[in-house]
Amino acid sequence: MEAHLRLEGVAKVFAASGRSAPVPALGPLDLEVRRGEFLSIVGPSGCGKSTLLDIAAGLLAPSAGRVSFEGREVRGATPPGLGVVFQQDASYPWLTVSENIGFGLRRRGLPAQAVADRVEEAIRLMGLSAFARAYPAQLSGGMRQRVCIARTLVTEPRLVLLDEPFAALDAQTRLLMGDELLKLWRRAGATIVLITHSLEEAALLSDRVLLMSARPGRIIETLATGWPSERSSDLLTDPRFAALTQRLWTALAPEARRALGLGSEAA
Amino acid sequence: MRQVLVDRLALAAVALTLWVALELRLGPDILPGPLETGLRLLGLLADPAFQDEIASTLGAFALAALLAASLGLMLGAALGTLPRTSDLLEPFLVGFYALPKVTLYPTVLLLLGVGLDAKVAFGALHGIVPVALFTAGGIRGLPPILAKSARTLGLARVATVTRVLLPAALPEILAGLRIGLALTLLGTLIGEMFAARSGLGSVLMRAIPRLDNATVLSVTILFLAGALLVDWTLERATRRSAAGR
Repeated sequence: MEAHLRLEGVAKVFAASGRSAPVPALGPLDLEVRRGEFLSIVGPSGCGKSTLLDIAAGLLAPSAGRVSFEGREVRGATPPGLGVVFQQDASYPWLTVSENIGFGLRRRGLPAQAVADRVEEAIRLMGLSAFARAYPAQLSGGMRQRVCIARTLVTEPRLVLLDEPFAALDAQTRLLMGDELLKLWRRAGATIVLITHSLEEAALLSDRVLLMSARPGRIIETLATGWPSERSSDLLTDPRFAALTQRLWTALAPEARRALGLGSEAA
Repeated sequence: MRQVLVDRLALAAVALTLWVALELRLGPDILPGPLETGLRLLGLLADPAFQDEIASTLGAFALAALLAASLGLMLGAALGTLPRTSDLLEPFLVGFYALPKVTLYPTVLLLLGVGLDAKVAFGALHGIVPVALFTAGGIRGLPPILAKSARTLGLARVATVTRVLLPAALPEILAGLRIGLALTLLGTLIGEMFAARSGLGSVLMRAIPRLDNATVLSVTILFLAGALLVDWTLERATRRSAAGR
């Protein structure tokens, strides 16, 4: 089957600046995302996860290799049908919640009524109905992130890249947002690529988990979780969840130590 | 709010008292008092010829402000988004900003002649640079995530600037306009004083050799009122733009 998103031999080296030598940040790595799957990419901090996302989204040119989305090469711009949710708050402070959510849609030449209907539905889905006319400054961090997620999902992307979308949220909100993401995924049938540093999040949400090495990040292992698509945070108490998280950590711990500059025998 | 009003009235009373004291000390020929000046101002405002002079200055200022704002915004957007352009041009702009622009007026006059064009151009010259520098600084201070997310939502380069970066930098842009337009008003007046056949600046230049200090003060008060009005409008706009943030 044709991969939905494919990276072949992708590497990124940041050019030397001043006296510092060129910094290899990523790869070379190969990656294949299957249509409709929920894939997580986990790696130690600084391994180039966000660089990987920027390259996959066409925001950053790779130093080597090739990215293709739905069989077409990604170059210089985010292709239509691919949505991105970032770690940082990307809500636009001068627009209300509903204006923010409709921002991408309005650029597509849809009739105003269609935009309004879709925005309204997204607001309801995200539990933001009481805040449709509020400005981001009046919202909590979690609500702002929901605005950003809604702004991307409302354009009905066929593949969504999420870069640590819940990093700024507290543990409970993270779990709830994860459940919401699973629901949206089942309903929309989109492909999801979630970049995270949380082993639990990856183990709980994904069909497959890719593990990355310390900088320059490479894919060191791929694990299939074997969860049914009807799943939720109830799995937290499932013994298989604990076993899975344990396996992920066993594979990742040496890389995490390396990323921190600790020796492999340190523990 | 009420307290501010009381304070301002008190300040105005102190200023008036000082004015009267100075009048008594210097004599009404050198410094006409508030009463004489007020009566002269009312008389002038009722005079159709003087109304034409006001209209002439207002028209020139409006054009100059429009020019300064639009050119300043475009220049600032370019400087804010193209790092190399900004490294190249900013030292020149800062130098130009510090330069007394009167030194350029003979050149402007030779280019445009004595009339509306020259004073409009001269007014705009005063305002463009602060608007551009504030706009560029505002855009450069924005979190990169704003432009990045705009690109993933399918916005091209120009749309990213006009739909995301400029609105995001609006508070800084308004601060630049506040300074820039005050200077534009100053520039328009100076332009009228040095070479113009109409406008409040030329009224001023005709009054000075006649030692008609009541008229000079009346025009000064009108200018003060105009400058305060521009400043107040932009201050309110700044506050409104920041309200949601």
